[in-house]
Amino acid sequence: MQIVTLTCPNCGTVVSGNLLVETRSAECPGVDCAEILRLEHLSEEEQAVLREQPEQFR
Amino acid sequence: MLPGTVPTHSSPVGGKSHVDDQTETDIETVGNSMKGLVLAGGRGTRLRPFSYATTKHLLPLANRPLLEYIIENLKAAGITEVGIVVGNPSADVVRPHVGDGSRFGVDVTYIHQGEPLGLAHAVGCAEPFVGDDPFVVYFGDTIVDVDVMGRLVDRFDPSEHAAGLPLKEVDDPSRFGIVEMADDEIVRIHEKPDDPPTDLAYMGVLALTPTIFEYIDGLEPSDRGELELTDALDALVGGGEPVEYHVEDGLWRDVGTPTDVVETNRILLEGRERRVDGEVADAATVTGRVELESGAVVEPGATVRGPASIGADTRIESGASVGPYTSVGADCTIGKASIESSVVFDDVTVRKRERIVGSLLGSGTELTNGGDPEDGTQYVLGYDSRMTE
Repeated sequence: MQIVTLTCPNCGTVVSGNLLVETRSAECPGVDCAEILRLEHLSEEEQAVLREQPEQFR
Repeated sequence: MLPGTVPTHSSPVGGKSHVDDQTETDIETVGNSMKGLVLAGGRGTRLRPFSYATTKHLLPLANRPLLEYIIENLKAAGITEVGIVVGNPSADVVRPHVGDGSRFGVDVTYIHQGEPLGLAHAVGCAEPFVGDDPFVVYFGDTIVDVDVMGRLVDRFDPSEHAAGLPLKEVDDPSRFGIVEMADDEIVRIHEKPDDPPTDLAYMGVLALTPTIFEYIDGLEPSDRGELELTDALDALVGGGEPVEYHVEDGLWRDVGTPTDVVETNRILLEGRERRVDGEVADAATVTGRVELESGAVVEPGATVRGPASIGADTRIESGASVGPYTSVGADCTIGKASIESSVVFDDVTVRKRERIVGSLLGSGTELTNGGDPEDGTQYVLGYDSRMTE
């Protein structure tokens, strides 16, 4: 099963795709980082992978 | 060598053998090309009620959070790039405690797993952090000897091996990930098998190359809805990837239950030296290997028997008896009670005429009045508990 992640371009913190599906967008959880990470920052292919995964992994 | 002390030597060379076959070398010269990955995203359900208030990765063992031993072990093995996988339950307490890692001499990157969806999912989430580098996976509820980590890093050659697995003989193999052997090679890895083929478990520290991600990609969720690391390792072995293994006799503790916390606390206290920075009254008794932090006071008529650790600004009052094998956190007050083989967190008050044994007393607990000084009583009390009958 492909695991989709997004890496914060500001601080390098890695966020799991399932977290972004849950919240759509989120402030980067990195230390002292205020970057906004959005589901749309993932490629169309990665978003499609998330849609096709079992519910708990989305 | 127990965690919490500085290592000087470990063992080199790859291959498969018992650790006693090794010669020693300086581990600071190896491992610095590897990254470390700490899996700290789990819920810690077996450690409730404590894991309701904090994460199990920060529970105090011999008065230091578990996660600090892990980071210290990685640093001692020459690993300074550390990824910490956190999840919805643990992120909000781990990040403020560890920060960017600079106070531990490491550079920390966080990997936010969201919901804990299995150890293989946690490792898979770390692929952008790992990149093309070999890495050590360290389960966040695990304590190992500093030397165990050193030997793992020394023996693992990422140009020859896809994985490095220290193995340990266990009494109850049905509780662990167990290897199956044939012709001196690992041929399968089974998760908690009903009919274990060996008594050799893979430990809570292991070395991997990015090859593992190909096998994680091929996994499907298990019956419990998680991506299992054992399944990924089994697939890797089945795929014919070369695996280094060796049988360890060093310390390995899974700190998953209150009993594990008490026992691991005992083991770690065994490795401490006597250090008295606090105040001991003339008529007090402090014997053996006792750590007494600055600001702590042992009053006249109180007794502390080592191995024991007493945190900063804690007061051991007249009539109290603490130890052996007991740690008491900071800002506690221990009155007329006897506490043995127990872990007392910060800001706890005990004034109960009772013999307390094998207990965990969560931060903010008040245990006062009543009690029977003859009987031994075991408590597992979560944060801010009150027993004041």
